[in-house]
Amino acid sequence: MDKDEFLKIFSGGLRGILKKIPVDFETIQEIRLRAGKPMLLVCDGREFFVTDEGKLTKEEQDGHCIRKEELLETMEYIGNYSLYAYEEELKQGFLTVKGGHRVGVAGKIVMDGNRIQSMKYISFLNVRLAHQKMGCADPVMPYLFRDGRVCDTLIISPPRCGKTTLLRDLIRQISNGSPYSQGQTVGVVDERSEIGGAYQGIPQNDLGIRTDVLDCCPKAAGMLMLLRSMSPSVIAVDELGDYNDIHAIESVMNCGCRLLATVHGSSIEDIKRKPLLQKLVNERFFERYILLWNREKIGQVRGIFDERGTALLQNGGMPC
Amino acid sequence: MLKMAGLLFLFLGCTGAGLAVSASLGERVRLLEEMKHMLKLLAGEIRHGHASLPEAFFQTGKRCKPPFSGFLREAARMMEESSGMGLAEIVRTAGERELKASALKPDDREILLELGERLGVLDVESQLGILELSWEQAGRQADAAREAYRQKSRVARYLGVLSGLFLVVLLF
Repeated sequence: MDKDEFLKIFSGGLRGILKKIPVDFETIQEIRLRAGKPMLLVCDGREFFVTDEGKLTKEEQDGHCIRKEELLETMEYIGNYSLYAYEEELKQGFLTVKGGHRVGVAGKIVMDGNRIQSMKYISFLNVRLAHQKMGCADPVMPYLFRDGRVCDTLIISPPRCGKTTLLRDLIRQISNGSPYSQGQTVGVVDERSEIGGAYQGIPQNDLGIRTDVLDCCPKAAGMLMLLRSMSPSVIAVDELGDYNDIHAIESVMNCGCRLLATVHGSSIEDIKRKPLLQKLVNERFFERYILLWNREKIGQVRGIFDERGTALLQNGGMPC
Repeated sequence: MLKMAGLLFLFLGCTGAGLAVSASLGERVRLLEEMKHMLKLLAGEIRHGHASLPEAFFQTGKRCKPPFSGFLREAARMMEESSGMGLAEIVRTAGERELKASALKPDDREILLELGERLGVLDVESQLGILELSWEQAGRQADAAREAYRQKSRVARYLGVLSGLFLVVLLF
């Protein structure tokens, strides 16, 4: 990660403080800025306050108190002096900056009837640093191929267990080619810019040399657009959820395209309890299920199962 | 002989000065028309692509003539650098560097320099409204400049020639 490039999104004062902090930026998950409150930093899963001198402390009163002017100046840089150009992103509550980092924003919502029109008085920022973990899909790759082709795979995971990070690396390896198959064209529908972290249309994460990305596009429409125009062999989407997604998946599979997807959940039985996904599981749409958890570390593979529910790998590394 | 040569150069110099003043008045009209064109292009970038200001400035700069191409590209470069300057300061600095030597008057340049204080916030429609206002302002300045050119360019040329002749006669 280019630290100097990343720090450009902060106001001059905050930049100076963050340049001095004594940790590797690759270990930082979040930087939280709240007007009138001390600056918070989440590093290796632990929370610290940041002092005026750039030191990390557990003492709240020593933390640098964020001024409203610092937030306004930071927003000016985050929005590239053009917050008007990010109207749609602000309605979603986040912007993606160069480097693929996501900045969550909160403030006062301006409604137009029942519709969110815009956000003003932005007083809370959550800067989530993007970290790509190349090779994190290595342990699961051997199980995802059958006769040289990718299996339709569903990654099931509770929140913050690394499912998007795993999906990202799967996309990259399938696109570039691996010992298990040649490189294949992958189409990605990145509805919330989390997979590719695209900035001005260019993914900031490495998704492979044969990957096309539809950024900020609804999944259902995106899957059909990719099928019509980009001839993918594999389509990847994050966080399946609604009826339209399921309907589009049927079209994808009917076209002979393979699917990689993720969903929130803790087990296959948990997924079967969701009415929208029950049909996909019962009719064996997916050939592989990867279960993740974070018992010992984020991104730990709890198990890999085939379409019948037979375990192929269990408890983080014991092949069955 | 030397005296004749000197008088000739004096006459040509005065005539040239008159022509230069006339050309400068004409150049100002041309620049104000180009400014209007530039503002329309900028509005188009924002309206159709919802382009951010650095992007809109850069793309418009590629399609404009100097000195506006230089002004826009310099402002875009400074915005991309995120060196800690506010937008108003960036636009004013780029304007000082690229527009000061042109035939534009301070009032003309101010139309562009004020954009830095107004653009960037609110929504797309507001940006377009601000650019439309600036375009109208540039139009009024261009009309006044055209009238000034019509009235004063011939006077400037004739004054140049006549003052040259006057000096030649006086010194002869």
